Parts: sequence; C-alpha cells; structure tokens
Amino acid sequence: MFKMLSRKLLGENYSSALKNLFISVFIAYGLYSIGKQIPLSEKVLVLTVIVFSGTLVIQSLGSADNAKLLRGLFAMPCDERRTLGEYTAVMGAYILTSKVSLLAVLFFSFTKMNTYRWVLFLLAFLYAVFGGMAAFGNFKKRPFISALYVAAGVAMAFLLPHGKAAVIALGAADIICAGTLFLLKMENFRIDPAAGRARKVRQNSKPSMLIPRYLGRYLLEHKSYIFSTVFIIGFAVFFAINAENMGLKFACGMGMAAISINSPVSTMVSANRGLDRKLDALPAKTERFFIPFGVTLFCFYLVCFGLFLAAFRVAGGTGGIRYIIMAPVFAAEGAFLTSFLENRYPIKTWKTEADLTHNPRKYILPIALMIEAALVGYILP
Amino acid sequence: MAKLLELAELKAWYDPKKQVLKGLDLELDEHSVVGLIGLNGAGKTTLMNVLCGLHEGFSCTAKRFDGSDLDFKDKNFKAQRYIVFSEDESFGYFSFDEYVTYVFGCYGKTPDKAYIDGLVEKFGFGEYRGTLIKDLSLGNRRKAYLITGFALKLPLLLLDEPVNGLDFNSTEALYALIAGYKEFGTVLFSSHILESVTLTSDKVLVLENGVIAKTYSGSDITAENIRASLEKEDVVKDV
Repeated sequence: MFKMLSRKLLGENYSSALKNLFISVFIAYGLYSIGKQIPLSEKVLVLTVIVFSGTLVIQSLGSADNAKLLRGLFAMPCDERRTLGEYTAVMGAYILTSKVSLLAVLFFSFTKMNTYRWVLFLLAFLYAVFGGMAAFGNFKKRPFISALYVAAGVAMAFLLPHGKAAVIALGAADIICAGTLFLLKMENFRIDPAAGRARKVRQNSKPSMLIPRYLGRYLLEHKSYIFSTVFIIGFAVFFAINAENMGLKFACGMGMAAISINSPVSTMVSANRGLDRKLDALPAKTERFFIPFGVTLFCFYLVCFGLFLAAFRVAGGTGGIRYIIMAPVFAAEGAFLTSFLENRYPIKTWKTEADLTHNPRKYILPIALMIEAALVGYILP
Repeated sequence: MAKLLELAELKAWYDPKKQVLKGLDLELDEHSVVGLIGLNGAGKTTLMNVLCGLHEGFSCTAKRFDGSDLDFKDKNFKAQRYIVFSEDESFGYFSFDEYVTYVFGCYGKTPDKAYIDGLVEKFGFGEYRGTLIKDLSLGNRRKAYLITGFALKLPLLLLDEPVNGLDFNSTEALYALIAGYKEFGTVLFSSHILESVTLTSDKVLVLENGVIAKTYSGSDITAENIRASLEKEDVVKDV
C-alpha cells in the first residue's frame, strides 16, 4: 500500500521527492548567499509552519484528485491502522518535500535559524500533519473536534513559551494529535463523489454578469477556499502587526502582499483542464472570459484588502494610510496579473491539486506586490 | 461541390519520434456529413484537436478553409467552427441556458430560442435546463454541449465520439440531427459505432496507421464494407 501511495505522490522511486529536495537545496544556497536577514519571532515561525503545512494537508486530503486515489484504495482489502499510518507517512513526506521544504529554504535564507528553531519547525510541521489529518477525519461526524484541532494549533503558536518549555509543549501536542489520529479509521477519510449530491437548479439565464456568477458559485462550492482566505487575512494581520512592532516600515503592505498568496480563484482555469481547453477552442476568450474574470478578481482582491486594512487598524496597526490609497492599485495589479497568467500561461503540468495551488507561478504576484509595498513604504512619506 | 476544408500531408505527434498522424490528406465538402472511423489509438481525437488549434505538435504542407489559407488558431476560423469533445467537464458552474448564452456571445450570435427549445425537446433535456452542468450525468452533460453545437449552425461542426453516453432516444435524435445538419454546414464526427456512420454520412473515412486508408461514399457506405476494413486492420495490428 505504501508503495502505491508513494508512487502517486512522491514519484517512481521517490524521483519527484528527491528532485524537489534538490531544487530546495539549490534555491537555499542561492538565497543564503544574498546575505539578507529579517528578524522573526518564534511565535511567527511556529504559526507560519502550522498554517502553511496544515492548509496543504487539508487541501491535499480534500482534493478531487485524492478522492480518486482513495476510491481505488477503498476497493482493496487493507489493514486499517497500517494503511492509515502509511497514508499519513506518505502525505507528510509529500508535503514536506514538495512544499514545506521551500518554506524551510526561506527561513534558512532570511532568518537566523539555530538547532532550537529547527526543532520547533519540525515539531510544528508534525502538528500540522497529525492535527490536519485528525481535523479532516473528524470533520464529517464531529466538526467541533476538527475546530478544536485548528484552534489548539493557533492558540499554541500565540501562547508559545520560550526555551525547552516550547519544545515540550509542541512535542506533547504532537503525541496527543498522533494518538487521537490513530483512533480514526480510513473510512473517515472517504470523500463523497459530487454526483450523489442534491442537484442545484438555477432558473436565471440573463446574459449579464455570467462570469462573476460563475466565480461566485465556484467559491461557494469550495467553502474551504473562503475559510482559508479569511484565515490567511487573520494571519497576515498578525504577521504585519509583529513586523511593524519590529520596526519594519512596509509591514502593512507586506501583509497585503501576503494575502494575494492565497487567492483561491487565481488558478481556477488551470484547475479545470476541460475549461482551459474549451476556452482555447472558443473564439474571443480574452474579451468574453478573461476581461470579466479580471474585473471580478479586482472586486475580490479589493474586499480582501479592505478586510485586512480594517482588521489591521483595529489591531493597533498605524502605518496603513498610504496603503488604503494603494489598495485599489494593488487589487488592479493583482487582478490583471492573475487574469493574464491564467490566460497566457495556465498551469498544465500538475498531478495533485496541491501541486497546482502551490505552483511557483502563484508566487509571482505576492513577490511583485511585496516589492511594490517596500518601494511605497520607503518612498512615500 | 465546393470544398470547405482541405488539408495536405498532415502530420501530428506527441513525441516527434512517434507520429500519430503520418501525412494525412483530408477534404471536406461544403454542406456534407463526414464520418471518421478507426480503432482505438488511430488518431481520431488527435485530428480533432489539431483542427481546433489545441494540438501543438503538427505540420501540414497545405491547409485551406473556404478557399482561403487557414490558421487553426485564427479567431476568424474559430468563429466558423464548434467542437463537442469526447470528454468535457468545462463550465460546470453554468446551467445549460447560461452556457448557451455565454457560447453564443463568444460567437457574436443571438440564440434562436424556438430552435433551441426544439433541440432540447428532441434530446429529452427539458428538466435539466436549469441544473448546473457539473451536476449533470455524463449523458446529460453531453446533450448540453451537443444542443449548443447544433444550435449555433456554424459552417463546420466537429463532434468527437458524440454517441458515447447517450440513451437510445437521444442517439436516434442525434443521428437525425447529424444527417440534417447539411442545411447549415458540414459535420465531421468520429465514432466507434458503425451504425452512426452508416445512417448519417455522405462520406466515411477509415483512419488507419495515421492516414486515411479507405474512403467510402454513396452506396459503398455499408456496415459490411467498413467492418471488413476495420477487421483487416485489427489482424494487421495483431500480427
């Protein structure tokens, strides 16, 4: 079973995992040589690892791609505990090698990482894997328990003690999460196929606002995207307030740029190969689809930035005035870039949905906004 | 009859060392129905994808549409043809009516409501018009895309295995619509079902080893003739 799962997620003979690790080491070397260091508290480090890895775990488990994989798995006789253990190990290894290794690269390159911090990083990652899987497994029958896992992870990061106590607290949380995870059965990870759900009847066929309506339904169907967007806004506020307290002049703009990393609609076309192909086959795809798509994205980003700026001010942030003016500019840039990339450079080489949502292309926008935020922070009074 | 589409020595590949289409010549008359038949892997879908500008790896010594040089990706050519794919999960968050409105907008056309209502009735699709496409069964989803294709009345309609997933009544309706499309333009459709080509086509092309190996027209379009050429091809492959 382990072989079958790992072949799918880690590649034949772990080729994908090894390739990703090699790329990470290569990037780490390049970035480290720049020699820039940003101060980062242990709380932010732990919160970042838990949020980033946990989101990936839940996205991977809930993806349509994973539903297909599990359908095959459920058709075979298997030892419940052993399969769950192997499934957890493969999922953890996949997320660590393909995505979290890049986060590790950023920490290694731009913050001061010692052995103690690496231990915290690893323990926080294990919490995200065990906690994320346990939260997902409980969600259908006991959603309040799932909420507890998420709340516990966030609370732990906020209330993280210093020194050995932090290691003990995180280690204990990992053991508890792992223990409760293995009380679950593989059945808890089954994803119901969409065909069995109630059909939704829409009587409206007015030609106006077709694309915004399409996007709205897409988002409502993927409620996890909405939750993760709200969650990432909260994380960005926390991150920006911390950065501002440490004296960073463009902390608010950096928070806004961080929000664009989790734009759930930014890969909507790439995620549906059939849609991408149909748009290519139909005439006027830019005029009829990608321009309205961009306008809708503009509104989406504007709402996200508005929520962020309001929360930032409420939380005591002070450097946000110039970014209130910049919010429509950032939203327009975000909408244009996302629409342009989806139109001209859709992501075609993806195997799992996590590959798609964390494709390097997705980081172009936040990096561009981050640079612009820094320029605004230093140039404008 | 005037030629609508002419291709000479079309070659297509996924791996340049292994060609799927190996110098295929294709001619489609205006206002005609052409059936394309061949075994699995013969290259039917690849040919359809090339015609739609969706396949990058190809070469062609000459290609003309309606008497003019042709670029498969050109917007003017795109506006003259529509394809129904063999597998399609696009625009799942539109209902059928919204999909029709959107697609007609892309082609700069206004939907003929009465004609579409007639097609919907023929396919027994009425109760699903307001359902999101993603929530439709495979057969009903196929109907949604087929109805749109027929309703557009474009000079060239491409159908990749259109019969798959359809129930008996809808299959019968489809055969009648394909045969009657000559009034508006030309249909090129691929199929594994002999009956679908014998009942509808003016010309049947047998795709074999990447080229059009046999062409049947008129009274030569019989199940026996086509079966014989396909069985022969199967034996050759087995050897």
